[in-house]
Amino acid sequence: MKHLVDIHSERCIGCTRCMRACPTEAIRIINNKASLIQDHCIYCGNCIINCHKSAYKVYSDSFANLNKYQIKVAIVPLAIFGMVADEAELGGIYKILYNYGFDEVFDLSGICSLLSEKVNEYIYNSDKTYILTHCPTIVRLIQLKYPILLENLLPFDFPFEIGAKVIRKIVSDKYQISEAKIGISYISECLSNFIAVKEPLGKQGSNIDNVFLFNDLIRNNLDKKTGLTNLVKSGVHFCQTGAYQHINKNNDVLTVDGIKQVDEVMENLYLNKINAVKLIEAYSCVGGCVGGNFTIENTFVAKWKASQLFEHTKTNDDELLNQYRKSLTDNDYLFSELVNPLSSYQLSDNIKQSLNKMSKINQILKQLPNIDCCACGSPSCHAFAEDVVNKVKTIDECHFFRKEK
Amino acid sequence: MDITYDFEVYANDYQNAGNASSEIKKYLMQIGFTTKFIRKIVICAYEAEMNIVIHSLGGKLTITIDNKKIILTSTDKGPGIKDLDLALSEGYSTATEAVREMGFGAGMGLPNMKKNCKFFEIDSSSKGTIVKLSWEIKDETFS
Ligand SMILES: Nc1ncnc2c1ncn2[C@@H]1O[C@H](COP(=O)(O)OP(=O)(O)OP(=O)(O)O)[C@@H](O)[C@H]1O
Ligand code: SF4
Ligand code: SF4
Ligand SMILES: [Mg+2]
Repeated sequence: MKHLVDIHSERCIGCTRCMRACPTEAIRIINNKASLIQDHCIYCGNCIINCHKSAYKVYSDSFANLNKYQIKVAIVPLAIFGMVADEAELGGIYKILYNYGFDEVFDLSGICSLLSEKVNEYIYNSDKTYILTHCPTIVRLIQLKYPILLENLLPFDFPFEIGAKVIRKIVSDKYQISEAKIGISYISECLSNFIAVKEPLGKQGSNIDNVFLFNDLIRNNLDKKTGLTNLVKSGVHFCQTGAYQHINKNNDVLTVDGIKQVDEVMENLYLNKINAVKLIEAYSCVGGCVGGNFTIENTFVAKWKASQLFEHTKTNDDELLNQYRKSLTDNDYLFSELVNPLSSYQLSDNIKQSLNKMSKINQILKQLPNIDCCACGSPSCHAFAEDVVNKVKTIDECHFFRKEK
Repeated sequence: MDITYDFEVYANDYQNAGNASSEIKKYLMQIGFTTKFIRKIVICAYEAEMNIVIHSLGGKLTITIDNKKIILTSTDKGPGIKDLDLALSEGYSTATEAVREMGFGAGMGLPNMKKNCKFFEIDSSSKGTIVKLSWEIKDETFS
């Protein structure tokens, strides 16, 4: 995440809000400023939304990068379906993007519609409980905290990546130019997808060339001029939680959103407490992607709008759907590499050393009040003891320890 | 050198049930055992923790780790298990209807614990039940 997310030190007041909101203990306050432990971060963006000083800065790509491409394509995120109530409004957002200089705009409804067919085929051919791979943060959570559950992860690539693969082929056909001359940009609704472009998961390189933040480019959706869109009705639901529950009527899909809730559900799966479930549809954001951290609509208004859009959309764009279907190979749907465990929590790669550290952590912990007040700048007394052993902090940074002395 | 963690477990405290085993999981991952090995221990810890919550008057879970073995002990304050052989058989449960509705009471906890550890001991009287499980640490259990 280096150089991708930064903390403005002149804005950060070291208040500990972001640290306490982080689900993976990836933040510390050091010298009164927030600081990230990259290896523990799962890109949920909770820190950014919980910062009341706008201290977090995300470095998206520069528009100048686009100049080198002959054809500029924008892929809009699924979350966009929660920001428009009908196709005309969607066309309005497309128009904003054309004005920025993009030649083509695509959304991901068609991709998700086709992907769901693949997912269903896959899950009903096995007796495992699978975890949906729409959200990169969920994949990171599993890599970091539940590596044994990687075998429950679906093998399918993220929707925007599948989209980029097929859209590149289609645009190259349409303009009769080589694929390298096409620049594909993703207008990301969240930190998670943003980082997944920059630090690809389950593949060598992303299929996206540049990535921008949705709310940097689009501040409002008031322009209602119709432009042509390529909406596929059956894919609209995938912008929010419950889409798979909606299409699979067998009552064997478990839907969960919000990273802390997802964590608990994964804990249940880990303990073999979940069976008779074919698919766990898990999203880091409350509400699913319509709740993404860079959207411009309240999550619950967005859920309502997405239903409106679904109602108001007359038909599928069958022509586009067929074009996608023809151009997509089976492999295009899949991660090209295995998703590996992350062992970032491991204290050392030697058991004696690990135990030694653990025992030091324990001794320090015994001197601490164990009230997890966070004033030391670590998210819990245990994390503080770890930090002392790892020499990130010194014991007198504990306010109680100081007082007792 | 060994490390010991104690977790207080309260009777009928379904709200916090599972916290002890979750912490145990975190510590075992920090030490760096293999994922399969950790899962066995955590599943046992969870079953032991739930048995204290559901069937006992409260107690504690203790885990001791050194570089040769891991010992997990669950001790509670009663009322004890009347027929140990029966309690250890698959499918036997005295869980109430209300408990079953929460998804417990399949009578698989103790049998699963026995299956997932290397050494298993259980002792029970009206004063309390002690379940002791242990695992050997070999090179292949450390990643
Ligand atoms: N700590 C305990 N104190 C008192 N009785 C216990 C204790 N642990 C187990 N038992 C008794 O032994 C029985 C079998 O326990 P076991 O854990 O195998 O199944 P269960 O708890 O009933 O169901 P499950 O574990 O599958 O949810 C219990 O129903 C209960 O009667
Ligand atoms: S993005 Fe999420 S996991 Fe990463 S530091 Fe922020 S809150 Fe923690
Ligand atoms: S659920 Fe949130 S974090 Fe995950 S992909 Fe969707 S918008 Fe991004
Ligand atoms: Mg039990």
